[in-house]
Amino acid sequence: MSTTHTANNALLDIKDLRVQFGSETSPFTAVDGLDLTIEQGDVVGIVGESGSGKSVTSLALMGLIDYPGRVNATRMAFDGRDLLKMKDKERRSLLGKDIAMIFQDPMTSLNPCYTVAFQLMETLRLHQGGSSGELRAKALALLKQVDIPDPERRLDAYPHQLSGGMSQRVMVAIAIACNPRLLIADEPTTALDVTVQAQMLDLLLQLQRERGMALMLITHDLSVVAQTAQRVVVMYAGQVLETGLVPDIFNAPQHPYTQALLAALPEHNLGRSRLQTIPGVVPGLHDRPAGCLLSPRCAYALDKCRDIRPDLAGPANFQVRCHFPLDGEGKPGNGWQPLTFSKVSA
Amino acid sequence: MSQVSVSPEDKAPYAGPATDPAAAPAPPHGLVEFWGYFRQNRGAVLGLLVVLILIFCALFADFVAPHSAIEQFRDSTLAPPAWQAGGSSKFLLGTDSVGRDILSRLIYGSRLSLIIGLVSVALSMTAGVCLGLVAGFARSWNNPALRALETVIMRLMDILQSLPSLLLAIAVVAILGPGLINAMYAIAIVLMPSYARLTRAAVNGELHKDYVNASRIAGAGTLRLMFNCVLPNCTAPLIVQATLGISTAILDAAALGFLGLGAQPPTPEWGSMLASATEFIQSAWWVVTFPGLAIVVSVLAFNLMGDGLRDALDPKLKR
Repeated sequence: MSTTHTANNALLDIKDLRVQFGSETSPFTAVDGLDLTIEQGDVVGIVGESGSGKSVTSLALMGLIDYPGRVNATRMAFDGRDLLKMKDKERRSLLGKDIAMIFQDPMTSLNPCYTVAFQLMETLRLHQGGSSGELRAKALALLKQVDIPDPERRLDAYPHQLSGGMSQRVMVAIAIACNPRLLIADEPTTALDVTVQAQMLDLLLQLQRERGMALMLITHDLSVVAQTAQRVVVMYAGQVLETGLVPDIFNAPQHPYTQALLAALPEHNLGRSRLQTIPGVVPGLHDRPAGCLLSPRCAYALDKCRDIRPDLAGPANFQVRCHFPLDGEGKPGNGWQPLTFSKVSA
Repeated sequence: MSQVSVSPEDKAPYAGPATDPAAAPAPPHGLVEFWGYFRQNRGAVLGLLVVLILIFCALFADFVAPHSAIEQFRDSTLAPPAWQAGGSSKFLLGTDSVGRDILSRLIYGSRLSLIIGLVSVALSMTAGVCLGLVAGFARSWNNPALRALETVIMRLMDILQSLPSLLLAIAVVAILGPGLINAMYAIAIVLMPSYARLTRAAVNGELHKDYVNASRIAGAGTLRLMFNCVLPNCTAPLIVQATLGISTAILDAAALGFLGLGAQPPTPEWGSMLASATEFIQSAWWVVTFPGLAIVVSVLAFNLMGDGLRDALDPKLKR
């Protein structure tokens, strides 16, 4: 966030992360100047609609962006060590041990050719070592920790014999196998049904509290963030639009986009026949506006919004990227004037 | 009765499926399921039967064959098969121009054909799979020189495939010199491109799946990703291609033998048996017919078996 926040004790410190795809001459910028700091034991929610760069950020962090993608950052440090300057081997030994990740689709994130035990023991053997007997005992203990019913039998099951919820639990078990200090959960509940979603979130939070690890929760479900996270980062088209503490943002969002997202929640639409929506889609490669990226979809957009791209501004714990941030009553401030009818028709 | 009364038992919380998980029938073992699918294809089972007979003949040729493969019975050259006038039960399928028993030669020849098939397929599959894996992975590497490997490998395979296979095999044998071993090398080179292409295509399909990413973030290196993570998931099409490849190899070896570039006399190889019998096509039909039939039947058997394997192993074709 700001300079006061980038003390050396930050677990994860990302400065000006930029991820681009496509040709050098006209690249598509999936993540555009992202700053993110995560402290030890923090739960940070990253929200945004599809295509806003949430997942790409986590993939870049894990070094999973391959050609033709390019990752650049002024600094991308984990525990004070810059991930981008590391050798591949060094980085690999860090991954899986100190940083772990859970994916969106549990049905494809386990290797269909191997049993659960094999996949759990493979990670354990790589980072901790030990005899197969010990590893198997550890694997069993992990399955018990993630509340898998009948864990002895599941150890020798193949992924196709598990349900989606159970596969996701196995993924969580693999992720926490080596006591990571940062767990990235990329939409961990999207592919699960609602009752299992709640169980999965409970499990993640419980593990997070027990182990004191930091949790980066990527989701497009605002209610999930409200329940779980301390801080939230709202992303749109690769940029951070607003970031701050969860109660602040959920009570009085300063960015029109956050306001519109919150207004679209079903809980806020009781009694209406239709949910409120945000018209339009996230800009793609060829229709990125010159000014504020939200300007074509924003209810309050003025000429200044269409011409000049705003910067992220504000105190360290509540930053917003808007020319006319909303005031406490949810009305745009900073001298915003509604367009008169003559101006609109002209 | 207009109202349905709800008894307290009905209100009991749902306690999950009634069946005890330990009592539930275990899912069938993979091989059992495979056999269930394979069995439905009659031709494939027939092919498998013939292949098993071939393997049996090859393994126990010394006990099955009535005579030695190269012993010449000078007093009964060009003897017709047993059921024809002038044939004797000593030589069931007759003898060739120097008095060697054709049945025995065929039985010993099955040994050679199988060895040729297996060895050349093993050679070409090993090389092709490695090349295909490299080509499939190279696409996403950051180093441009290494990324060019994909183009280099695949264009090389295209060139190999654009040459007529027998012509290429003849060219290779011409360089290496005639002989059974060199014929196997030649056939391996001819067969290699299909494995490389198949592997690369399968790898491209698998690389996007999350389990590959999961392995990477667990700290797996490139070699481990290639051989432990991705390759096992690409084996089904490779197994099918390998069985079909055996038949191609047998056919190519016979062709090379027929041209005198493969096995050298007096080796009882089916193709060279055909070659040495061409002058008797008019006078002694059995000398050419039986080796030819042996080639046809074994190639057909491997093809039928390969088709059945594809039906059984490809999840998209499962009913």
